[in-house]
Amino acid sequence: MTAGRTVTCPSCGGTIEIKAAGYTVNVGCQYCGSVLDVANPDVKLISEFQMAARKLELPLGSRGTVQGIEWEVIGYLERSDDESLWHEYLVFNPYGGYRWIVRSEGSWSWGTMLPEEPSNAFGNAVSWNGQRFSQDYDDVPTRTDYVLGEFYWRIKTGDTVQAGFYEGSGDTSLSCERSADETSWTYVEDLPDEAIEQAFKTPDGSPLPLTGGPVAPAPPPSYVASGFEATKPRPKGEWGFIWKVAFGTLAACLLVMLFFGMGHSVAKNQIEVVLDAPARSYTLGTFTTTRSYQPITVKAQSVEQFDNKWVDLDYSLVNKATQESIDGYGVVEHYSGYDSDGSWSEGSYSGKAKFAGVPAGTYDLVVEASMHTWSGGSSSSSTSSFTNPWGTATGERFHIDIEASTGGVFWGNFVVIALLLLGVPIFLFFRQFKGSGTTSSSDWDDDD
Amino acid sequence: MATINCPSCGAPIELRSAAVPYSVCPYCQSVVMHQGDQPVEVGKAAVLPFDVSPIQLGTTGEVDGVRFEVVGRVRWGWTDGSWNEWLLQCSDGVERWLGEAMGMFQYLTEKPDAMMDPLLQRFAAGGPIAIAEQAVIDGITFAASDIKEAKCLGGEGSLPFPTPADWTMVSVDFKGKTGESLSVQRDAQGTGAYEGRYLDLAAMKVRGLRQIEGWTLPEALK
Repeated sequence: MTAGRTVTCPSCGGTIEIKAAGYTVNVGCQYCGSVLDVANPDVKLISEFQMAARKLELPLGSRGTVQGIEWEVIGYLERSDDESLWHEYLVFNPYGGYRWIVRSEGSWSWGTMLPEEPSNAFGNAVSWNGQRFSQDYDDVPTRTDYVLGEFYWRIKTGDTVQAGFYEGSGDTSLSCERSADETSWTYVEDLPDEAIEQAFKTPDGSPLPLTGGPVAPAPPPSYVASGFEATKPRPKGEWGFIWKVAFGTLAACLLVMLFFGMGHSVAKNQIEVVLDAPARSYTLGTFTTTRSYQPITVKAQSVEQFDNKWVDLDYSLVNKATQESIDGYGVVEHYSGYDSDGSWSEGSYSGKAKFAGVPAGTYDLVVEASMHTWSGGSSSSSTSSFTNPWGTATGERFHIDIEASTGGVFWGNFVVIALLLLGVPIFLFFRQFKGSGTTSSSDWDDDD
Repeated sequence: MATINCPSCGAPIELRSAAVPYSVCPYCQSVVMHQGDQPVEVGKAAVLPFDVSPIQLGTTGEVDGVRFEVVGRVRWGWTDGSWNEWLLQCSDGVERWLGEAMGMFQYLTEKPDAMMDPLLQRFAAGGPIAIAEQAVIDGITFAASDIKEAKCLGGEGSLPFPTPADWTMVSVDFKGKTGESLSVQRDAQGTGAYEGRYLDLAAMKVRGLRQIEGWTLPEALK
């Protein structure tokens, strides 16, 4: 629409069109991700980011008709709790108000905010519109990780609410979010894929960039080696030189990685986890690094053996001076069972998490640990309770030794470097001999 | 519709409601009192900031057999946003407002006897109200759920009060256990209580909605 109000992003200078003028309070700039306050005539910068905005499955400005009303996508949130992450799109029609489109694990659902609170019903349930909705799990903290577009309330990255989920009949549910200031309820209906994917059109008419949505928590940030670039293609006849340089560089990289990778223990402790209990936080120790970018490896080793269980280990290196935290994730898991192919087992009683570049400073190593029973594959787990001598009951305690050391050899990086160093010569090598029409096996011999 | 001339700029001002003493001149924003022999300018109202509200002066509708026409609007702002209150002239002579916030509409009916409640009396006398404090009206228990200090951002049309730029109020929302709501507002002039209920535009059979560029009116509202 063109009748809206426009503001200029104080961070990147981009022109942002406010679609729901009069309602919108905060805007996440679609160019740089900075969050702006537009509640008052003078636009204020709340948090500044200098980053390219995400590519959305439903780009801002896309429109589609759902339940007889045309809606425009005006806002986008990425949210997560301890177990999953999902995307939420805020859609608007000036005559219909606001709705939510939720994208989670490949499916779509449709949320309508309730103006009133449902009434309490017998048991862990509420009643709304003559329907009963029951809560099977306790409320969990839910975090907003990323914000783009415009919103009718104050919003920022890192906002956390307690979210509860109430299951209704059929494909309906109620979601309840509680913060210190208010409680809001949303009625959620599952939608078939085509109800969104065929209904919505991007502003420029291009197909929706559908990806299936978020599926699993993001892995810890990986360390990407810099300074190593692919060697440039060289004229034919210099193969000996090319291979020598490639392998020589690779060997040098390996030596450097091993040299800097060898480190010493900086913090060591044992924690106790209770099976299927809520996650608990432990501070394992404090250490100081002086190198400007220090790799840190955290190794977890289970004292007891167990089966069909896993331990989630969310590590944080909290800088004592700035309170900034570097997060990583580790797991200790072991499963076994019996199926048509015989007995199987997989997993390991130890697990490593690596932090690539930890800046110099003094850190607390904190871990939030929780242990869970694997209930998937019911037939195998019922068998394993007989065959497995470590079969344990809920509430049982396990001990995990956790040790952080400086260093860490990032083998993934070594593979990347090897591919970069050797990939181009190998490619050129084959292309060259394919072009000459002779068989490659004899050429290999010739060249060696 | 009767018109008067603005005592400040001379432009015609439509008197949308004879019962309402003030009107805002749509040309020069003068607030004009027209209850006496001569219209008198009593101040200036702020220019309303642009918004995409679907309601406009002249929009009509019907709820529970009572017909209404929108004759005026006040816009309120608080630290985290703003909302509209549209004055309705109703066929049964009762004062009603249409509250509009977050794309939702609350149909508010004046409820003078609610002010008999001890909590609301204390509030009217200038006392504070805390979240979850209770008032009982007609046997229904209401708990305070939201308390805001708001400032008038501007007004238009006919209004029961002038809308000076420094006009502030305290607005408290109460919720009942089965969906009832109550809004209590206190300003320098006094305190009023309104019983509320959320309705969507189709349920209020509204006609004469504002045409917003880039959007088509849904069939049900034409």
